[in-house]
Amino acid sequence: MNQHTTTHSKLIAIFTEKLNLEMPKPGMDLLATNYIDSLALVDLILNLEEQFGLRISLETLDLEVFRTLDSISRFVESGQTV
Amino acid sequence: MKILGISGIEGSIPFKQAHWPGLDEREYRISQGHDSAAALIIDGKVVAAAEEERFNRRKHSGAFPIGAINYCLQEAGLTVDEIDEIAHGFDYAPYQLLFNLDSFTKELYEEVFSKESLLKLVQRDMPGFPVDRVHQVGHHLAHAASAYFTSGWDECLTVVIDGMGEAHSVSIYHAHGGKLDLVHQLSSNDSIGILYSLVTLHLGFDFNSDEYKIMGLAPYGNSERYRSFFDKAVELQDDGSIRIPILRLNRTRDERENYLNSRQYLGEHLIAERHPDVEITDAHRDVAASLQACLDRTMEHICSHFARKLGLRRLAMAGGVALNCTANGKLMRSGHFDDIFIQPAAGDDGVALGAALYRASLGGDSVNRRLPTPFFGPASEPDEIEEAIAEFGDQIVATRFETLEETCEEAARLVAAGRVIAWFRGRMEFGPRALGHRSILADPGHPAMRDRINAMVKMREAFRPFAPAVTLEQAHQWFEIEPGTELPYMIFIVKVLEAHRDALPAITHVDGTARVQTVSTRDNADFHQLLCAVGRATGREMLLNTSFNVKGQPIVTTPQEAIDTFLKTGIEFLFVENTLLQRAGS
Repeated sequence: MNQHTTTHSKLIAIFTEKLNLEMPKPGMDLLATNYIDSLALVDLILNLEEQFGLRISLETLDLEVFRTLDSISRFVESGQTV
Repeated sequence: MKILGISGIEGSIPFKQAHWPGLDEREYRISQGHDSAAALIIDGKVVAAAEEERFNRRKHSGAFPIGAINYCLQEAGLTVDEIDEIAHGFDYAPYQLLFNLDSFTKELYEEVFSKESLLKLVQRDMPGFPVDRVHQVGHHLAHAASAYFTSGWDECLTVVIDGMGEAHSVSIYHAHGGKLDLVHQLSSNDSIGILYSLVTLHLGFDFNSDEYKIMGLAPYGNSERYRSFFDKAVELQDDGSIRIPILRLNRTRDERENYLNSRQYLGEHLIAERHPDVEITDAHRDVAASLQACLDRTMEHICSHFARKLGLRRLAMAGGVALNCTANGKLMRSGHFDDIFIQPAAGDDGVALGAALYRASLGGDSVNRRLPTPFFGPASEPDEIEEAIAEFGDQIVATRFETLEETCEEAARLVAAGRVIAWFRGRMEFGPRALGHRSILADPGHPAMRDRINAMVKMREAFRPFAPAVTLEQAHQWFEIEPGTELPYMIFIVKVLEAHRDALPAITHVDGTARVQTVSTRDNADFHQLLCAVGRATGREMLLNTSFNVKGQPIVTTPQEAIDTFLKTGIEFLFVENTLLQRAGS
């Protein structure tokens, strides 16, 4: 599996198995549609940290990272710490 | 450094009332920031601490704790200007961006959770206090500090477990060398505390308040009957964490705020919701038993995993779930730990203490000594007591004893004769338990005592057991504990020795256990002296010990409240320090 496929599989597992959400469609605005609210976002961040070995600071968070599935994928693949 | 720790979020329930009018009164407790308190730490030592409810007389009050603050200042002989810092046991600032996600949570943040809203209250009640001296400490960090910095241990596993802090339900720390290293956290969407509270609400009791009643009900039920439901509801993960999918069923703001879909799920898959006025049946008892067993397993799963991972055998705990004496007792007997310390004000009152202790540690002021029995509240001066007695005039008759010894002899004589006494002495307890300074006491050997006390004063549910206080020297003669085991905070359930269960009907629960308090001369000397006198009179240095209050009322604080409560109930005798009070004409 290439990196993108691995990332996608892990994100599917996080959304469907950990967060109990339906898998969002690509391009869907997760924030504007209230698909994830503040507590769900904390939940998502905890799971991203655990699954991808990231440290994500809430104080310096760039919310745009979490706007779509694609932006989340790009973020975790870049291995950035925000 | 003089640091004043505070807890509570005053705007929390009013905000919910404004946005969700018409909810059941019990549903407004599905909110944050109850049990406000203040604690004063000077050079790392606890000087005073008390809950606000004891001053404003509103149980579980979340109001800005100005009554408790004024008491702490008075106790230390300080003015507000002399306080170096105020430390609040919540810090939502790191989550501000997340709260900005929608207009509702943005408003909630700004009006209720933000530092600005806290500063408004400080300015309202403590005008002129410099805002740059007000600090915030993360809720779980404050809980953790309250346990670690009073444990007396240099290194231990520190577990915080509650409904939720700002966003988490469990936080695991490796505490060592005066520092708390965060190891792991669980989301509030996987909160065993919230699940326990939701089932408490579902069974007709109060969310965030009556969980201890469910704990008391559980031994009457069959914990296997609903085991499969709770095994499915709470998934224990290999990494020591847990998942609770039914808490994630809520999608809309309404659903999330009041856990509507989770509660509906309980109604459809567990048992129909019970109205508070409806009789408790076997099914309710079995749900309570199954829930309690689930909590016991979950606590052991989380704590033992991280103890193994970090190679630690000492555990310090705080957070509202750590008030669950049954789970604590199981953990103590599990073999995973050599010693467990539960900070006795483990609920949100305790974050006032923890926030101050944490800030003190940053300034190098940490004094990590084992917390004594927490008599950090106000005492009454002799003139205040005389004034209170005079206030009630010819309603009461006072008999004054010269010494504590004489007072104890008379109290012991009454107890041995099967009488119920109230005992008001010394500084008030900090935390939810009366530990011998604001207590109702009786002989635990009288078969009808539980019903008598319930009828005459407590007006509480008949299924709830009373707790025993016993001298440290005699505790192992009556209970399954090693000689010398100190359990001074009444926060662990232990087994009553089988041979004595029949002789101790008023404090032995239906499953043969008791929520025992051991009493030592070292930090509860007067109460120890009373127990010794009782021992000479009854053959047992033991008393039934329950809090001096009536149902729905905070524990009494002042001699006036003590006398007033005494007169309004069926309590037969009241000891206020060395004065015995009886009803006139009795």
